[in-house]
Order: sequence, then structure tokens, then C-alpha cells
Amino acid sequence: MTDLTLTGVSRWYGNVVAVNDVTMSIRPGVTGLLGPNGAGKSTLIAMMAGFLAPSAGDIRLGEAPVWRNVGAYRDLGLVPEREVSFSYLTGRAFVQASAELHRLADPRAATARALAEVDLVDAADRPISTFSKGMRQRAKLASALVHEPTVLLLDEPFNGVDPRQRMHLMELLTRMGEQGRTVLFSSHILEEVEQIARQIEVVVSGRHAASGDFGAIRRLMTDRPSHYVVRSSDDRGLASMLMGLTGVRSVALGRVGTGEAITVEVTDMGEFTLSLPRLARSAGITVRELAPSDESLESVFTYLVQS
Amino acid sequence: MNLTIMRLALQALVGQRRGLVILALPVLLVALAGVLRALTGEPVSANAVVVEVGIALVVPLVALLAANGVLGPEIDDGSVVYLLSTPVSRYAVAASKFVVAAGVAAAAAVTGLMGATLAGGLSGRWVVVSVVVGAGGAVLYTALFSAIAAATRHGMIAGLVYVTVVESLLGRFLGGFRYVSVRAFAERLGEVAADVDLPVADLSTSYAVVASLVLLGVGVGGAGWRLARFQLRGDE
Repeated sequence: MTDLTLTGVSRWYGNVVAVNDVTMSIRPGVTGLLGPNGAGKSTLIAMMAGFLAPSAGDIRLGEAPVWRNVGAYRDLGLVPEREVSFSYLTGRAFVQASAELHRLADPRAATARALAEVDLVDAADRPISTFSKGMRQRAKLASALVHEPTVLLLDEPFNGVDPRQRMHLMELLTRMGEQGRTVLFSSHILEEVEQIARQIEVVVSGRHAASGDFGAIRRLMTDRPSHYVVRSSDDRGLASMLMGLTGVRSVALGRVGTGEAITVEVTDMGEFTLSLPRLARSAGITVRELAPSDESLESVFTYLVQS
Repeated sequence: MNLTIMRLALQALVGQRRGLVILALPVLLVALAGVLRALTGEPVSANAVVVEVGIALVVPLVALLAANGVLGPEIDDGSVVYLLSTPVSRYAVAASKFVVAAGVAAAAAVTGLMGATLAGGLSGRWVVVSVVVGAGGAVLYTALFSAIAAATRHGMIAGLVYVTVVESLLGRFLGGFRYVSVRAFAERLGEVAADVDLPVADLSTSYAVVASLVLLGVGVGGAGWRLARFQLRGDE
């Protein structure tokens, strides 16, 4: 009951495909679901949590399907991105309601334990309407944890949480992974995912673009052709020399932004960064500007999808 | 039935502004009856106050507010997901919420009608009418509005359209609408129970009873069906 298995899962809304033929298996430990905004992460998590019917394919927790099977929630905890609107309840009442709905033997004790786990004991008896974003996030987490699920799904849990609480949350998720639970969280920030996830699943435009440990994902993301814009005192002269490098795939002269510049497509970043100053100096050319033109995470994701 | 869901539904109803409106409607009805009696110095017209204002307006409106208060907002803003990610049957969630909404609506409706009857100086028979039509009407309206709230995102507006257009306007001119009028069912039940003459359309008692039972089933079942298929839409 600890593995979440997706087989050929797609979801479309009319003509729009939100998730396209995703097959993956989420196992014990912390898994990061990485992708840009609008990639279909929330749709995937909603389907994994049994709150969205896949248009095609199959999602199972252990052997049992999750859609239209409320029994699955005995083993599954969900921390949705959605805010808690039970603002008139205290944090403790909110978590205890969850404990009671799970028919736990001792809801009061389970509530106290979950609140201690997320470090929300001091503020627990205040109404949720007075909570900060980070405290709400922890209240949601406590309510999802109260029945000690073997699988925990979190949708963008670090959004809007301050750095100190973010660190605390990360420690908590790491600890839960070490306890042998299956923890899956989504994020659009690579650094966040790298810090705690052993396994990373990348989704871009609804497709499963890459899968592996963070080292493999990092290599995929850095060993890609990248583009640089160079401005110098003699663009044409420098361009002809750059073309001689094996780590350079193409060089173009032309207008970039406000003035003329060289656009270089580089396949070996190490060689390029070492050679450029050497070549320029030997030819007496002054380099005025060197800037990557596509360093955003979005372009990294785009590359992953194309490859 | 689930006590936790019921407790939360009650807190959602009475703990928020909606609760004050549910309370205000019957209070206004009683005040109306009291003021009219004080001004005229004789018992008020049961038909004008209890039937045309109380049964025609206050009863459906408190039920509309109660039904949409326990179901609508939570589904709209998606926070019902916190109640549904538990091993509680979705039909039990719907039934629990319905019982609370129907109970609150019935209490408000009966209080309002009975208060108006007493303040207006009407006979004891009208007390029976207040209890039967108030409680019966509120429960049936709550079932109807629960089904509507489950079927559409615009439960409040659709409910208001039903009360104002279907029952009041069309029902007045086209007799056939009595067969889909909750007010007609409730008034027929009240007539039978209290032996008064309500201005109710010609409708057999057995039809009223059967239609009421069907409405209850459709209302609670429809809301449960909706929750069993509740889908969490991503923001993206």
C-alpha cells in the first residue's frame, strides 16, 4: 500500500490536454514533482489523490484504484494548494475534525501528536483566520498527517512560506521519507526539489519529461546547448575565431536588443568559458558583454521536452 | 450520518453572517404580524401574513440560505476537499449536511410562522399549520435546493428563480405548476393536518405525499452523487 502507480494517465478538458500519457511509479521516500507553472502538476496530484478522474489510464495505490474509492484515504494524505476556508475553526478544531472523520481511536491524542509534529502547538487554539501563510500550511499538513498515512501528497507546499518555516517543512518531509512513507510534493523551483527529493519526476506541458535522481536531472539540465550573447570591439573577428572551437555549434551575427552582437550556441560550456577570454586577448579584441540568453528554468524545461 | 460533519455544518451556518439572515427573516415576519395587529386592533389576516408572506417567502428563503450555506461555498472554493479526503462515505457527508440544513431551516420557519400566528392573534388551528407547513415546507425546500446546489454552481440564483418565477408567477397563472410546487405539497399537508382552508391548488393528498418523498430522495441522493464525483480543479 505504499506505491502509487500511474499507467498511461491522460487528462483533458475539452480540446485542452492537461496531462498526456504519463506512466510513473512513486515509491517510499521523498519524490519531487518538478515542472513550470501550468505543466499539469496540480492536475496530476488531483488525480493521484482521487479528486479527478483520469480521462484515460489508471492510477492505483497498491492494488486499489484511487478514483471513487474513499477507502484509499485511510492510507493517503493530501495537502492541497487550496487555502483552508474553515477560518472560523481553531487550528486544533480543524485538525481534530480530520482525526474524527478518520475514525481514529483517540482523536484528541492524534491531534496533539500531529500538531507537535508540525510545530504548531503554541498557536493551535487560535482561529485559523489569524494564521500566517506558513501556519496555515502547517495546519493543513497536520490535518493530512493525523491518521499517519503511508502516502502523503503535497501540492506546492513551499509556496509563500517564509525561509525559516520552509526549512522546517523540508526537515519534516525528509523525516517522513526516512520513516518509509511515500512523500510526493510538487514545485516549480529546481533548488527546492534538489534539497530534499531523492527522486525527481519532471513534467512539462503535461508530459513526463524526465525521471531520475537529482544528479541525473541536474546533468540533463546543464549539459544542454546554451546560448550566449557577446558584444565586443570586433564582433566579426571574434565570431570567426569562436567558430573554430569544437564546443561551439553555431555563431550568428546580428541585431540583439539595442545593438549588434554575436549569438553563440555552445555545447561545451567549459571549453567556451575558458577559450573566449584567451581568444579575445590574443586578437586584441575587447569583450564588452557576455550574457546567457536563455538561462531561465522555462528554457531548461523546454529543452527537456524537445530532447 | 456523521456527527463531525454535522457539527462542522452547524458551525458553518450559525457561525457566519448567513446565520444572522436566517434568524432575521422569521423575526421580521413576527414583527410584521405584531405591528399589523397593533395598528388595526384586531387579529391579522391569516391569508395575508402567514400564507402570502410566511409560507410563500420566509419558508423558502430560510431553506435556500441553509441549503446553500452547508453545501455551496465549500464546493465552490474547493475546501470541501478537506472533508472528503477521509474514508467517510460521500453520501453520509451529504446526508449529514442535509439534516443540519433542514433542521436549522425548519426551526427558523416554524418559529417565524408560529410567532406570527401568536402575535397576530390567530386561532389555534394556525399553530398547527405553522408547525406542519413550516417544518414540512422547510425540509422539502431544503431537499430541492440541495439538489439544485449540487447540480449547478449558481444554486442561490436558481433557487430564487424557482421561488419567484416558477412558484409565485407561473404557478399563479398556470395551474399545472402545482405538480412541481413545493409550496403546494406543503400546504396540502398543512390543510389535512389542521383542517383549515389554505388557498391551495387542487392537488391530491397522496400525490403530495409521494412527491414529497421523491423530492427528499432526489435532494439528498443528488447531493451525495455530486460529492461522490467531486473533482478538484487545478488553478492552472
